[in-house]
Amino acid sequence: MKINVLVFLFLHIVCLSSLAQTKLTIRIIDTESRSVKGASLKMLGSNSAVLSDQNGMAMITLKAADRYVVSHLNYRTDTLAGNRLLEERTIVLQPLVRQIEEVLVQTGYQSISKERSAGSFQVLGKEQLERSNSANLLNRLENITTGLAFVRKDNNGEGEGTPKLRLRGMTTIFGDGSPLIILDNFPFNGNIGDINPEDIATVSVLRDASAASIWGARAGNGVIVLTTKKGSRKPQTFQFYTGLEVASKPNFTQSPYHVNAATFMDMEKTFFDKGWYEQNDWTLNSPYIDRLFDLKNGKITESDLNAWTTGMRRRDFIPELTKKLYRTPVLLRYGLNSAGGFAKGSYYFSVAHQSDQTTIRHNTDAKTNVVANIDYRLTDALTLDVETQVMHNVVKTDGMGISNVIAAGKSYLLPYTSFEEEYGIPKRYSLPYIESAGSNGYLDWRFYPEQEYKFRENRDRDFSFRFNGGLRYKFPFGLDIGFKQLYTVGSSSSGRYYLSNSYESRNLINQYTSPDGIRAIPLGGISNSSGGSQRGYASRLFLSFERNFNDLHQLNLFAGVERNESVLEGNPTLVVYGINDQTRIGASSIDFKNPVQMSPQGNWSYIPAPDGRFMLKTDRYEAYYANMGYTFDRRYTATASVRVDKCNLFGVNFNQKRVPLWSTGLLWNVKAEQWFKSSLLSALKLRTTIGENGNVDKTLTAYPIATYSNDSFNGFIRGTLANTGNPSLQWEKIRTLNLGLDFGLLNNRIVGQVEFYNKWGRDLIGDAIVDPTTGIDNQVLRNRINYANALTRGFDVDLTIQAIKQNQFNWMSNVILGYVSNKITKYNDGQNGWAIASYLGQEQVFSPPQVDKPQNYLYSYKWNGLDNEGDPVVYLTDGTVSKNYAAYLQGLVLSDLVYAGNTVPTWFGSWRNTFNIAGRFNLSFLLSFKAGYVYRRPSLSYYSLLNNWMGHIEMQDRWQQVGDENHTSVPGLPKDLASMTQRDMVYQMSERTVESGAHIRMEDIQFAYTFPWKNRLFKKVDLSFNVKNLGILWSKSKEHIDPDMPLSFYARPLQASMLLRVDF
Amino acid sequence: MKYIKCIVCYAMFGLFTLITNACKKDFLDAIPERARSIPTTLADLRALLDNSSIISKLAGYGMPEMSTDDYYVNLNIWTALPRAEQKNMYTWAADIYGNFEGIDDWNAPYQRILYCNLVLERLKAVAQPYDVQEFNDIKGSALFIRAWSFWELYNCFGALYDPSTWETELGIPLRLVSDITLPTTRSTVRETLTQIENDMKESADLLQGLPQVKTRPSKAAALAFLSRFYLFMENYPQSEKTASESLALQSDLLDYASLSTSLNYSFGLFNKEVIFHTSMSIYAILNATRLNVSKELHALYKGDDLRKELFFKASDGDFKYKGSYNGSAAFFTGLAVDEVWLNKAEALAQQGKLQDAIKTFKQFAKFRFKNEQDIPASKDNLLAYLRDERRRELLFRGIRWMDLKRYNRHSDTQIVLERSIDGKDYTLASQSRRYVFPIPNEVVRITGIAQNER
Repeated sequence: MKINVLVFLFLHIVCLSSLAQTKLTIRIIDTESRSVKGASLKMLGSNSAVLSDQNGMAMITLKAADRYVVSHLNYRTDTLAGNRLLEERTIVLQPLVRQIEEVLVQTGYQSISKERSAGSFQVLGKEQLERSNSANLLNRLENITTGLAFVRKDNNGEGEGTPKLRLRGMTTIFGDGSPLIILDNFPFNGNIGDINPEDIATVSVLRDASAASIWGARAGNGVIVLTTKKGSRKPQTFQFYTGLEVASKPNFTQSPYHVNAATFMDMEKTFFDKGWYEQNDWTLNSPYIDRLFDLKNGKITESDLNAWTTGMRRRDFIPELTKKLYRTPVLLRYGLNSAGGFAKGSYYFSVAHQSDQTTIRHNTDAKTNVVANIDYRLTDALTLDVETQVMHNVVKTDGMGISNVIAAGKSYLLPYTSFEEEYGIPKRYSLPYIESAGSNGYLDWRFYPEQEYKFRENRDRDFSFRFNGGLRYKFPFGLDIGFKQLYTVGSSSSGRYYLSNSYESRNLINQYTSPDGIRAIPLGGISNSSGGSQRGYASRLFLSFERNFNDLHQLNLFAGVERNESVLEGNPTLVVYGINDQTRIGASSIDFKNPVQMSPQGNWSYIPAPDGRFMLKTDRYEAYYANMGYTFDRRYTATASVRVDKCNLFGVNFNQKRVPLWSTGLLWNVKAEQWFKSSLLSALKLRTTIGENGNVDKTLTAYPIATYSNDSFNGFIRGTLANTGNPSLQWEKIRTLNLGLDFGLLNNRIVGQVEFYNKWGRDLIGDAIVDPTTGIDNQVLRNRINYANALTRGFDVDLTIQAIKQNQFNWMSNVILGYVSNKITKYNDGQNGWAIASYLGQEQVFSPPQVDKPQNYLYSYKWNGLDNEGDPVVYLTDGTVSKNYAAYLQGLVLSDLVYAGNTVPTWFGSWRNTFNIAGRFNLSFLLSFKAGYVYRRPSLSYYSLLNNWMGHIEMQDRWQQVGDENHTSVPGLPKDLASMTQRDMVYQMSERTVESGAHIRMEDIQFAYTFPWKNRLFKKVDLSFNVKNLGILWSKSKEHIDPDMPLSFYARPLQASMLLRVDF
Repeated sequence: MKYIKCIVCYAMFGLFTLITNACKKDFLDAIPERARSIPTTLADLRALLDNSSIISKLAGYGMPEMSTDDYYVNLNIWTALPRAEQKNMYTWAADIYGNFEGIDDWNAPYQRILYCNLVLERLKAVAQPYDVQEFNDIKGSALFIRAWSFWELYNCFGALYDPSTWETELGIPLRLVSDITLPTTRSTVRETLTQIENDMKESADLLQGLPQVKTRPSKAAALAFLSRFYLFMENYPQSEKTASESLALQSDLLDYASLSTSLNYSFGLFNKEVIFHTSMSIYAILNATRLNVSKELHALYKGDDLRKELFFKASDGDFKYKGSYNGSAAFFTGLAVDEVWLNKAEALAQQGKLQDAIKTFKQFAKFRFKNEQDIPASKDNLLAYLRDERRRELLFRGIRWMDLKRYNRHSDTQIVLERSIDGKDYTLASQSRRYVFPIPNEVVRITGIAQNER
């Protein structure tokens, strides 16, 4: 009976479908409505096809329920539903060129079509990477990479330093929060700044679990994959380029620490009159204070002093400092590369050199990069590919910047510092002392900032070689088997050579001279040098399968095993004394064993000795992984990946656990659905992935571990317990959920991507507070175990708007918006052993972990204003108003502080506009913004003013008379020395010095021009100009401070660069 | 084409040489970092005990000194002192710590004890064959440092010694294994003192006579410590015996007459009187610029006392201390020969061997005074003289507190400490429970052990 019913139903369906069968003429055209001849149209799964004629007409029997495949040599193959063909009767073919330009995501293991991946990727191609012509790849990525934040807030004083990268926040507490960098298939441990940006073809940023989980235990903070340029099977091309970057000299006048000499001297006089300066034999006082003492002791007269003071009050060290020690930095780079193909392969070669005269005179930085990438078909099935990179880097730091000139124990220069060379500057001890020292047999103890470079040879050299190659055998049915190998080797050396006349040598020799004149360090130059090397191997065996079944099912599989080793070796620091400047021969024996008496204090100490320490670090990983993607009908894609990591860090128990890291994902191309019709939406895709990545804290192990070093106090080798061992140690796990929406509007004039993510950090390493009787003091020696949890959540928006698209004029607008917030969700709260001060700091690189607080935050003291004597008002625990600031600070507990906020931007984004005229002129500008965070600005400290010579422009706003307290928060002069520091703290760490970081910045403007020459000599000539760091357009705070680097001595200098590219 | 073949050869060579590297069996057994490893050899264990930052340098033990009568601070300094617990120690307050945590005087010795326990445990697993003498020396050192640390802890946190109550009064937690998961409990005073005595006696048997560098324990040091310990226990014959044994190994004194009085610090680091070197952490209240030597103590030095110029310098009517055997401003808290001479003299005097005591003292005194001294001949006067002499010689070494506790056991030598600052007067009665400091709050909170009543 049942069978009968089935037979009936079957027949019924056959009848119905035959009813819908129609013979029709279909017109096949291209995007510009031209007829396409010779296109093949067939039913999916059938073997017979019809070809279109000259007019693009093809006759075919159509069934509404069937699906049809149209293909042509020059066009993209497409699959269409029968009912749609019945309705439209026209097929528009997309030119195949588009398919070649199909965006490929490089995961470091394979390239995946972005069309068919459910993960969260951003691919930066030629257009994005060449938008800026900066010589540093990192600068080119900043503000155009969604979700990637550059953190510079711990930059203190001089220079810019290397920013820390945060991809979608940080989901670890003590582990490394920076993303993993992959360069051509394998992890890259070097400095990204050393890579020549001209050699990079694409940068793929893997943000979620899907592709990142394939990198396993180190991918918890995202992965950035850099791929170098490769040749293609085209005729040989050459490109020559040369670039020039200049920047303005540092502008110290805008520094909040810059106070005019008269104001500063008045303040010194006030303090002097209160008797707050001490004069002993050697304590370094300012020249003014020295003279005030001289006057007091009758050594000079009032009129002598006045004559001197009048001149000094008008002085300003800045013009002299910038003129004598700084210069306009000039970076010049040039390079030549060649790419092409031959019958059996292709190649890309590149040589580049860059020399950078940095802003501090006599400091330079030179880099050379060589790249050779070759692809060679040994047989039809067997391909060999080799990528080779050589980098060489020499940094010379003989020059003196402001931080080298600031005297020992001081934080800034006196506003009336003189750079007149015949005087020299006391850098450590008082001028009277060093003057008398000269006649007491000591070497000249002055510091000559302008001369010092002549007596220094400071060089840092780095060399690295990276060889990365593989063989791949292609079986005809879609299976590839291959292996890849990486070999890297590098060396670095750091030499600090101070000639006998250098301040470093003279000072050390003098310090190690006893007050009775016995010299412990022989006369001559002093050198400190160290060096090291690194090498790494990685081997990967992989299997890859990719096949299309009936154009309906697309399957790709990838599986591999990998071993990875990286070894760091360091040589001991070599210290040589008494070096003859000419022969370069140093003293052969120095007594490091016996303490000697030092000057000027007369204390006993050892001569600084070589550390005698060879370092050897070995990192080994072993991993097994598999990755799968299945696409059905170009509409649905499912992906999955799994990876097991083992390493030599944790010991056998850990490796036996083999907790796999995994991910799965789904993609739904809504637009491809038959039922989906919208004239507005030209593309619509929904994506989701979930998975688990890992992170490691390399400082922890399962066993009690000691670190060994030289003990300079007793001359033995000392062992320091690093931890008492944690047998249950494991990876930190980060589970990531990503939801994505890709859309195109108005025929893809507006293309956008919106992604939401949650990252749950589990088993994060945190401090577990232990009874200190165990010997764990919870400060230096801590008990760190896997138990903390954290949650990071946010969203990324990426919009590209083709605002105007005409033949002669194009306007493209890109908007990037990111939001990321994190908080700790499980931690041993409250009593976690951190001092109150660690919640308040200025740099606040690390905040003590607290449940329900973000990872980086700031607290402040409560601010109750000033009283009518210009003192901050504070209340003691019993509620009484007091001026006993020491007692107030001592009595504070965390709940007495005011929470100020997150110190890392939670909102950030950029808006870039590119205008193209006639395909030749290209103008682009970039605006960026950051918001949702606070920072603590520097402020006036009377203690620093008195002791560290660091003033603050707020001095002029300080409380001076009754009534001032109504309009200023800057405390008046302190009344006594004893409580000065605490009184300063009450103001400096108060709510009043917390500023909102929200700001909008004009990052850069770039202008590019393509010359109309195209002849035998040149194929293409491009010239581009870029102006960078144009300043802050708007900031919520009224302070003239860069919220990204509030502690910097000067704002990021304006930078201009030029790049000429000639293709021939 | 030739070039291409070269390139292929180069690549193939590169690839195949590397494969061999990837196939090692013990790949994951590599030590991650050579300078970071599991301590296994005798050298590794020795290195743990040679860590001067943990074992000997700036190693806590300031609480007893902050509470003695050897110094005072001026009001302006007092007001500005950043740390309330230091003021509380100065005024012998009932509650010392307030909400302050991380007490160095507790944490530092217990960290040393962790090091020692780890060394003692891992010594059992050191592979044969090994140098037996070195093995014994390391074991002796670990026992010495552990006993030394227990002693410092007992001197701060253990109940006062009284043979009639020492079975029940609470001593300190005796952690004898490194496992941090084991609970912390308090021992009795008897258990504490017995542990110290036994550990130290065993270490005296194991250790070599004199050390290579004075940050390492030695037989001389163990015996010197025992002479101090038995003096405290009022076991005078043993004190005399161990002092003599120690002096037999090391007895040379610095001739103070030959030293310069114009230096900022009169004595050198590891000078010849030092037997075992340790120094006190830096505490704001004891900082060289803040602390003034008690006027009453300064008055104890007579005109011909060489120490007067070597130990002190005048500063605006106050006296500053410059006599540390650390060669700097930090206080020396180790063992030195001068103490052993004085221990021996007192132990002899206490036993009634007055002539021997005077003879011993005179051997010592000739290096301290310009002229020969008149030494009182009666036992009581001699002991009183020696008590003053201990103050004059052993100031700021962490010894006064122990001596005060000793003297206070007997009605004829009891001392009431008095101090006034900021218009208030403070006293510390001779039998006060405040001679015993409270256990740090977090320890009581986490472990539930009994707090000391004050």
